[in-house]
Amino acid sequence: MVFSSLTFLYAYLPAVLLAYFCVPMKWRNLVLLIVSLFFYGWGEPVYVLVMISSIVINWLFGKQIARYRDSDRKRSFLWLKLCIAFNLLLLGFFKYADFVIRNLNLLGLNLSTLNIALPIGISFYTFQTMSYPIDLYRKQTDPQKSLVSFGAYVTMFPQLIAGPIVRYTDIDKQLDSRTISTAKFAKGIRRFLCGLAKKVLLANNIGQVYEEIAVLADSQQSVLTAWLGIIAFAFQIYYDFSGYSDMAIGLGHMLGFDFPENFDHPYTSSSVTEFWRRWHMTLSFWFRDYVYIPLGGNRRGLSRQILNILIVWFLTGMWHGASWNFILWGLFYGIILIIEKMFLFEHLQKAPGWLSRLYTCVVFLLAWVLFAFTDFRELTRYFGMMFGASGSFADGLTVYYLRNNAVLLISCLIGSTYLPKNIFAKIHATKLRRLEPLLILFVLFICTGFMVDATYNPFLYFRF
Amino acid sequence: MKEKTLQKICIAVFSAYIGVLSCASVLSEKKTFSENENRSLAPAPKLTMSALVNGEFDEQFETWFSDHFIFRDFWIESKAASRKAAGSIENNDVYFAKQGKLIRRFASYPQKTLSQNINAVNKFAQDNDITANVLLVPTASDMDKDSRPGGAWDIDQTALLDEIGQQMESQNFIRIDEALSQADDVYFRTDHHWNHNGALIGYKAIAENVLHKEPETFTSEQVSDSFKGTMYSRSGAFWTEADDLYRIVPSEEYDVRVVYDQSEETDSIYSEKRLSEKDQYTYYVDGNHAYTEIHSENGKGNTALIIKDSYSHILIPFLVQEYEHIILIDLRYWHAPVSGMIDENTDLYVIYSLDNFAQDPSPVLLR
Repeated sequence: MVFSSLTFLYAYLPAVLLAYFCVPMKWRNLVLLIVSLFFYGWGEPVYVLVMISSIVINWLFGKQIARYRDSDRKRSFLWLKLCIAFNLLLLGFFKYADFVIRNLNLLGLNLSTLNIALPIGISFYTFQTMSYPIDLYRKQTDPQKSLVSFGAYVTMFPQLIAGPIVRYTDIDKQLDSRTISTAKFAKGIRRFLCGLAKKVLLANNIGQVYEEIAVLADSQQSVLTAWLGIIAFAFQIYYDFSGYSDMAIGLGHMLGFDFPENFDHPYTSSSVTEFWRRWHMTLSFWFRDYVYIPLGGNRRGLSRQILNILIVWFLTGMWHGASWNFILWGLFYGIILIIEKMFLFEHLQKAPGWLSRLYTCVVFLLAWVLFAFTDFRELTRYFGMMFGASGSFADGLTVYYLRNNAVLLISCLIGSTYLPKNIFAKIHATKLRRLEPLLILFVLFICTGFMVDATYNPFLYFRF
Repeated sequence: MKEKTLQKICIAVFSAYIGVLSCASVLSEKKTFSENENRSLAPAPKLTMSALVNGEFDEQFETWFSDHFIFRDFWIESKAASRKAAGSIENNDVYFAKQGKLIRRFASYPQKTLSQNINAVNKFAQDNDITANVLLVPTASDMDKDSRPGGAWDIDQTALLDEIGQQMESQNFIRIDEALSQADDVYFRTDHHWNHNGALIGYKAIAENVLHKEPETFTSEQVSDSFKGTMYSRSGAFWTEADDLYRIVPSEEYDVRVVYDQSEETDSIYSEKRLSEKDQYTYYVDGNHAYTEIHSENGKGNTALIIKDSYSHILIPFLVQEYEHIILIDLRYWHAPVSGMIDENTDLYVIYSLDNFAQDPSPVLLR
């Protein structure tokens, strides 16, 4: 069940809110656990068992880690290692087993693939749960006494399938006591609708443009069309992903939680270093805190730092999907980041704003091509089209895409800057803010139309 | 107004909207057929163990919930209107064209399918030692291109016909693109088919190129003014005015016997009952059937074997004046050999709309 479906908005959500607010506070974590397991089981009935076992094992191991963390560090560390090994095995088996087998087969072996379907959201929730034992060992939090509350943390439906990656320490206190207020609920509605509109009105529509351009025959391609295609993809993935995060954060507010932010206008960045501080922030920070810094970060000399960066970006790439193009995508970013770290970043700081932004745009657009095509022949073909292999710069079809999607493209462009946020802040300071209920109705109304006649409403993170 | 009051109003509006629509959707009466969309709506999903375990139930439920969502037609129309208001020139690949026309976009086709279809026709003709009369009818997206909204881009169908014609040199390749593009009102406004005026042009070309005679004269008689076609359904532009539909009247009418799928027999090529249904184009030879046999009491002793899609249906009123036997084969549904149906008195036709011939994989089944 995706948030942008009628089932979620008009069946699941009202039922959940009703159940949640009808019971007293002390029962709410249990309600949350049950409805979240239902949410997950609705699309993944079998893999609910995998999730439950992951909850129980992490919770039990967490107890052991906490028990010995003051008296016997070694013993505590051993439990931590076992716990991490369990989580990585889980992820490795479901996500990477077939990838490894296929690559071994390329080397001459003849193993049959397991053809296991990837449990939805497994990369998100294993990363979330892993933060728990590690932070326990680091004494950054205390063990959760209630299995129900811990289960509610892991399964919590708003962030379960597409992030943000909420660490246990982000919400440990909120699990035990949280305030639900009118102001917070209203804020949650605003945020949720913002995300819904991003997904339903922008991402799905611009995504269709990309999907159409990606499969155009060579004879119908042109340089401008190909660039327009990848720009459409860039907008699709941004509005889809940040839309999901907005919806998650908004739903969190409604339920009384504060989740960490995940996107901060990444396409306005003036360097790739900055881009990754603004794009999928909870993942970048996760890798920084749990991989990069433990590996020594920048404290062990330049060559070690470069190696650490490459390791982190190899893993980041792999996290996005068990396919070589994602690894290539990660390493591409790793190399760019190393180059920026060594000398380019300084120059970018001094360069005119438009130039450094243009540079960043070109880098992330090229990177999105690596990301978009898992098939290498398709990938190289598309790169070819972007650089003139079709022999045509622009044609009637380019005009058609621009004309038919003019308002959409301009909305996507403006929406990725700070402008809408600033305008809303200004309006909010005036009496015009009284119109907010009307705006809520309007967004719900338009989105419902697009959801009922949804020819295209994909879930992009099935590989994550 | 206090901040708190405003927040309360926001929450009330949100909750009321979601609550009312979800209750109404659950409680409302469930239809089984959507008139506007011209399709059966999904039945309630059955909760079976296997559907639940393999995750199909999730999808089935969403389809059902969406199909029976309260005021479904209104939402679809509101989406189409939103797109139009936001400056889009199409919705679901149907242009919002001028003069209340809805035109199907035709901007790409799988090259492989087209060449396979061409080869299939060539091979069939060669195997049976016969020349096929091929009529691929170009569609409104190019023939009526001035009606399209500004910025529209579609395949140059004249060029595409040139290309196909070259590859079908050994067939009798009939061209009507020039005549169609010069004429007005040859396609339905709300449907993807050509209308009786267009079909008349098609018939005249057949008379000249296949029958080698002067065309007969026909008049037309309006039988409906409420035809809302496939493009109406698909575009969501439910504000579009309905089309007129005509019966084609010859100067001398012969008795006919029509047999659909070797079982259902009638005495007219028109299916009156279809005029009270949504897809009124099925008035002509009752819409899509795998195998249709028509016997006309004109005593001409000849046969037309027509491999076709639904574009051919509106030609039949003309052709019953010219052939004693007509056999219509729709390869989407008919998978048996047809070569046995050919004798020395048979004219072989291949009649499709050009966009369908370039995209439909079924003509390769011709044998």
